[in-house]
Amino acid sequence: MTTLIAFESSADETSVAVVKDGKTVLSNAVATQINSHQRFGGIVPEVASRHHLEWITKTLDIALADAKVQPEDLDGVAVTYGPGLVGSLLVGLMGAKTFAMAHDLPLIPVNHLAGHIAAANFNQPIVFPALALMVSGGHTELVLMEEPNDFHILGETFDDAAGESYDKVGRLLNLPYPAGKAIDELAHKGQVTIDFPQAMAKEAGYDFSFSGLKSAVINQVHNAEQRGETIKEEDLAASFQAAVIKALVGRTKRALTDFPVKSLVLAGGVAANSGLRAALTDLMADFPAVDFIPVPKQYTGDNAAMIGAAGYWNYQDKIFSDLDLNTNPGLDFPLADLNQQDNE
Amino acid sequence: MNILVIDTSNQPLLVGLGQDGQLLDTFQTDKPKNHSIDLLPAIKSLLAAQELTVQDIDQIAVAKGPGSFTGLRIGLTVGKVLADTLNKPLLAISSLQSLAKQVQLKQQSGILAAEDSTVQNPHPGKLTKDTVVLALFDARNQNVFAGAYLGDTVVLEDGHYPLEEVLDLVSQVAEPVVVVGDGLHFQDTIEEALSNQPLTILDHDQSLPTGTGLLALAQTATPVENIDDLTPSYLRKTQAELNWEQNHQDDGQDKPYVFKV
Repeated sequence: MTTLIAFESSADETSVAVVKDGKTVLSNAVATQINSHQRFGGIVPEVASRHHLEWITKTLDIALADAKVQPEDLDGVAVTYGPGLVGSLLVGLMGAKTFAMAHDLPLIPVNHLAGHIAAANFNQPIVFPALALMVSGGHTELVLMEEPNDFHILGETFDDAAGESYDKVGRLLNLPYPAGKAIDELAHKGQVTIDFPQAMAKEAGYDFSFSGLKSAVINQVHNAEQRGETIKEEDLAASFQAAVIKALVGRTKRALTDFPVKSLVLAGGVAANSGLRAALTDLMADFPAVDFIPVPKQYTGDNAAMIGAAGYWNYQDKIFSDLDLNTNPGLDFPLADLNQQDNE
Repeated sequence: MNILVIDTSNQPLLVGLGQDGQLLDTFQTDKPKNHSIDLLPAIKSLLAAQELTVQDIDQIAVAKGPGSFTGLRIGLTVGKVLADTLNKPLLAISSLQSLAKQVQLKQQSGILAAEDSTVQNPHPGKLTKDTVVLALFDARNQNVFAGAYLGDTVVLEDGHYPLEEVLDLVSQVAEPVVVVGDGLHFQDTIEEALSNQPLTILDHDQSLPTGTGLLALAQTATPVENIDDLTPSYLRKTQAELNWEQNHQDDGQDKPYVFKV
């Protein structure tokens, strides 16, 4: 049995968790700064960093108390060292390193994106090889995994992340930041009345682009305003969401067709989107041999439990760091080598 | 009684280990963007050199600012988490006053003489216990984080001020002045404003934190009551907050900015 404490502070959530064997969450203390950043319509890095320092010891104490463990019960300290905002990352990283030094525990460096994917283990153990659709405010990636801790990007966004396009459309509709949940709810009350263009639909590969869609939505609204027409917000949201989902599902279908995986993981903040979950559930009817493993909704946003899950993979692979570990704000997975697919 | 002292307020890094009021050993660097890498290994090696473990630390003293926002957070995160998890007292000391105290201590021991001055002293005077020590950090656009001290008396409270305002005030105190910190960034302005007083401007190397001032102030400081709530003395709101406050009333705020989910 392996019990890890995990620290996560890459954006605007301060979180410390205790996780057993990478799959059982003993505690997951999350402090969210959402109300603070709503003032500015997005995350202000310096403000985020300040809030992290205000909450680091509180979340640490809550996580240990909720899990009913003492430092001596722990086997390691997992921490997000990237990607993310450098000032935010630094607080969790320094906190984790200090805790590791204080209790002479091994330090485990964790890629935040690996954490999002590993959170699927809280649903059911990921079966390998696996494909992961990682959709968040900062990332939109299709990731191929031959085995745990083996991540290769099949496709990624050329411009906006899917979650970012939700926030931009949300701003247009005067919805509070972050807008994903509000648009999802609006979309369910509306009809798809506008056929928004789907970027790169005809192109080969697995990459995404969402900035064209965002521009199309903005144009649609402005043109309607100029003509004195009103667009039902519910319909606009439904049409926008349909276009996003179509792009995500289309690329995922192509990847599932080309790569014989045993499971599909849906991860990242946008994985909470009910429209996307429903569309992927439908898609899986075409792939009966593939397990669909969406991350449980309460672990789709940033949290430290997921870092404990990915940290467990590293722990098993004996991937540890010294106390000089630094942040890596631009950390990403390597690209997949698709040359072997050229014979198609 | 072992005390760990940490100063990450600016580019120089200072970690020291004190015992019964004396510094046993220190670790110092002066490299940009390096505190997050060096700080923990430095603590570990200082302890190891004295054949001590983390558990042997009885107190932690950390420079709480003002200074570089990111730098301060690195030192305070380590100080807060260490004090919290080891259940040891944490002392949060002004970064400016620590530097000033360090200068005063040097002066008392006779190490600092007028000839230490790196500038041509217009009125070379004997530095005495009546010397005002002005500690300042460059906060850009002719603004400074500054505090001024005469012995243990605070002449100017730590704050974010226009340089001119600080020099006006110090010029009215008819005492010799020693400037420590980023004084040389403003050499001409300071010399002109304080032309009627014996003046010494210490250069960058003479202004590196050594830990002596921080340790001395820690001896009489009251431990932080609530470690969770300790934040650095930023002494400056973020630009985003200042802009927001211009257009909004932050009256009691029905929703807390940060809350536990």
